[in-house]
Amino acid sequence: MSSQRRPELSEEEYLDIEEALASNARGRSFLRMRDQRARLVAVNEVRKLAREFKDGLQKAAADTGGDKRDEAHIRILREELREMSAYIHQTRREIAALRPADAGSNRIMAATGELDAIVSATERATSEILNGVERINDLALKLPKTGEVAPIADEIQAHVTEVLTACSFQDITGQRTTKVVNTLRYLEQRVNSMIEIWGVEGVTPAAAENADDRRPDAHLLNGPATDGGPSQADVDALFEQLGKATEKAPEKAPGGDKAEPHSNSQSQIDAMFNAAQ
Amino acid sequence: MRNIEKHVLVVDDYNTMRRILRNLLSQIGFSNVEEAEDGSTGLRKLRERPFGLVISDWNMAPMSGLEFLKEVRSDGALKDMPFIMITAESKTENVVAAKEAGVSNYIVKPFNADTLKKKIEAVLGEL
Repeated sequence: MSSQRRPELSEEEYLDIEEALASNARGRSFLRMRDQRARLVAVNEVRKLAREFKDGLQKAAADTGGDKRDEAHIRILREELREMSAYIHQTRREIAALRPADAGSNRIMAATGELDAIVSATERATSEILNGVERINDLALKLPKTGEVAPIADEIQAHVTEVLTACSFQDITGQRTTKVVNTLRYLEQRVNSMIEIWGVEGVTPAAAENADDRRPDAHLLNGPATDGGPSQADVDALFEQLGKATEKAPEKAPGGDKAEPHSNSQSQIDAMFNAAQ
Repeated sequence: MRNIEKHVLVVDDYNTMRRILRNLLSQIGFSNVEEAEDGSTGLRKLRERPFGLVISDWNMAPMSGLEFLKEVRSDGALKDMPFIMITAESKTENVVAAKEAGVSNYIVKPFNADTLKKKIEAVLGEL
């Protein structure tokens, strides 16, 4: 095939030739056949293109695993979404469990209160120790500075100094405890924020996993009262009162199942002991 | 035990600590000891009457010991005041910050009477 390009016909030349052919029967037959062949070529071209497109689509589907693979992907996606939903639900339940049923049972608040109570108690105790040490020191200063007593006075003062410096622990523990209290308060704020964000209204709180004491008398073990609690006199009075109640109704132990939980004064407890002996 | 005339100002927000320091200073020989519970009170007291030594905690509010120290050093009448910091803050950055602010010496809590006396002597000279 020649590489030379054939000269293009002008529109006028094309129409002249077509008119010349159409002027006789054989020429018209030629033109009809040409048109038919041209249509066939066009149809074949379209069919070929459609076939190629279909083949391309099938090849692409085969590369990705096809419909079955798509279904598997959707199934995994659904499963992942279900798991995410379950986790979110569990998280909401956990957060709901963090929220106290009432303000009085807020564990973080309670822990903060306990720590504050520790600081106050150690401060009081340290103050009393200091009172005693200062009195001892004053007495030591009154001792004669001569004779056999002098070295004893010096030794007392040396011990007083040791006790004084040892008492500085209260400052250190106080500062450390304050840090813990601040951390707890920060946690409380964050938890409250999470509760607000997640909207846990109506969500069933998750059950606590062994966070509680399982001893049978755990409900009685609350530790020292942070607000000072009943005085020794209160306990004595209640003990005495319970002792009288025991004498009157010996068949029923005091503080039985139906007894209201309350604190006993020492006198009340003493009376109970005396009655039992 | 000799009586040291210098007035000492003890600044600490813990009453217990102020009492301990007052007692220890008394044993060393300082009979004139005044107390303040924070930096701003301490600053006011320093401006009211002459003192020979300041012993201050760091962690106090509203004015911390470091702020108090800086105020003292920026006051023309107080800038040379011997100033000892007694604190539980013992990180290097704390000591550096205090030193840069012009602290005379630095005692870490808990401390003992011997350390207190040595640091005071390091600032004031032998007692």
